[in-house]
Amino acid sequence: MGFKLFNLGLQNWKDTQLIYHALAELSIESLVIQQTRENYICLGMFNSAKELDFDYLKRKNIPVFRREIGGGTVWLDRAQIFYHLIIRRDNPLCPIKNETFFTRFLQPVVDTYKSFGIDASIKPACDIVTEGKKISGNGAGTIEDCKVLSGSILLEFNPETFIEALSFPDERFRKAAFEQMTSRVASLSHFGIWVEEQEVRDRLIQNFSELLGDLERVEVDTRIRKTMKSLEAEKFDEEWLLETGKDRYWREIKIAEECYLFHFLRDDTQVFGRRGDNKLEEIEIIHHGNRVEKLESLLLKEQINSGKILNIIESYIPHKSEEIFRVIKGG
Amino acid sequence: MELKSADVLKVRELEFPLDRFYYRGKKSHLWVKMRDGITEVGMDAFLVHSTGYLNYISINTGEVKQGKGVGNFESAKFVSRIFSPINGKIIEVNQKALDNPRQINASPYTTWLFKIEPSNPQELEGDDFISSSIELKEWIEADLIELDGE
Repeated sequence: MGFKLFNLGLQNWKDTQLIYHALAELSIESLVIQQTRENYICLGMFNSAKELDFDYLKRKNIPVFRREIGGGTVWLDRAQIFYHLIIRRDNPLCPIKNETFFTRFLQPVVDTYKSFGIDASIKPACDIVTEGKKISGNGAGTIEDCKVLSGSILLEFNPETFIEALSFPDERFRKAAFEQMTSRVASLSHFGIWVEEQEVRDRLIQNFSELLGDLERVEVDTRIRKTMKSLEAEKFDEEWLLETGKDRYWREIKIAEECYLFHFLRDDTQVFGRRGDNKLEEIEIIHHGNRVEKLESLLLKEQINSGKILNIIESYIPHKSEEIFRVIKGG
Repeated sequence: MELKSADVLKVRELEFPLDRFYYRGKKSHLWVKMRDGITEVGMDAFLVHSTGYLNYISINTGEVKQGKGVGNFESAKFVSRIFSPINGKIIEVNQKALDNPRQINASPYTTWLFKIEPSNPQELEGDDFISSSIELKEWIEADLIELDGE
């Protein structure tokens, strides 16, 4: 049996998430292409709900969902075409290695971008980039006996509301997140490409079918609807939404692969910085009310995995060196 | 059951202590060790090798069924399911490993993830468990070849 195609067009926001969870529960190998009618925020399985400003979300009537798969917290709106691939873990096409999973199944998305004249490539683990900008973020995971890939093609992107909806330790962090997101994330429109949504959908389907074989166009049937309904209670449970994520003792936000902003504040020590490719691109450390500039400049010179970072911090702030080291290293 | 020796099986650069069992049901790669009637469960070297750096792990507690999900772990934006190797009850979770999952990358065999009070220890003799070093070697080699082919 080949893959099914659910080319769903516009869906209500809840269904855009429930559909692929249900298909995976039912082990229906498929490709889903769809858009959401309403804006919403989607947390990855392990993202802390504390990343969000729930007062703001309530005021603006923006709903939140926590998916069962990986990746970071994302803003989802109508100006994105979602794709979700559901494949059985025992399908010979489904690799063991997650890295290979992403490279294999993101290739049709890369090819779609290329067909619009964008020189796209995959930046491991799972970003699609061009000219140093992220143009598609993705996440994946195992649900029952299937692996699921989920991502979107951005037709347009405006991070303003998303940044407002996030909770930050201070306004400077918020401003930095906005600036980084604006400069490092781009949509098709950013490159002057304005295309019909139907055209993007058609090309995605064409490119995925070259990898998966002929796709059988089908509708969401009663069995799938029933499974979506039964998942609704579980996925909209407050405990699942608010308590599944992992809290960290520092705040970190991923802008793109190799661009993370972090902030740590405890007692008399505050650290704010930006981590790039195994290197700090920016760091500010305040200890006992004073900048520790010598420490900052030493850290900026080192590779994060060099093994020296911890020793350097130890020589300046010994009682918090382990904590600060973990913040800098991330993960 | 042959896997009771203090030896370590080496397949390429990966090591597999022979003082425990290995669970391969649901395409898992978990080690299982009985200690005073309680089963310790952790990730084997193949899983750690093929997964890369672990960022998050969660484990549920309470009654568990063999082959059913008991938790998840995330590495590089991919959330994978952890399946219970046996029926029983999870009585303890290694909070230190959950707080610092990279401890498992550094030392997979000394870092257990959770402990199960088994309802039937005989389950370790089932087909989903590797019961000889020869079988273990064949299994790991086959999976490594599959990994190479990717």
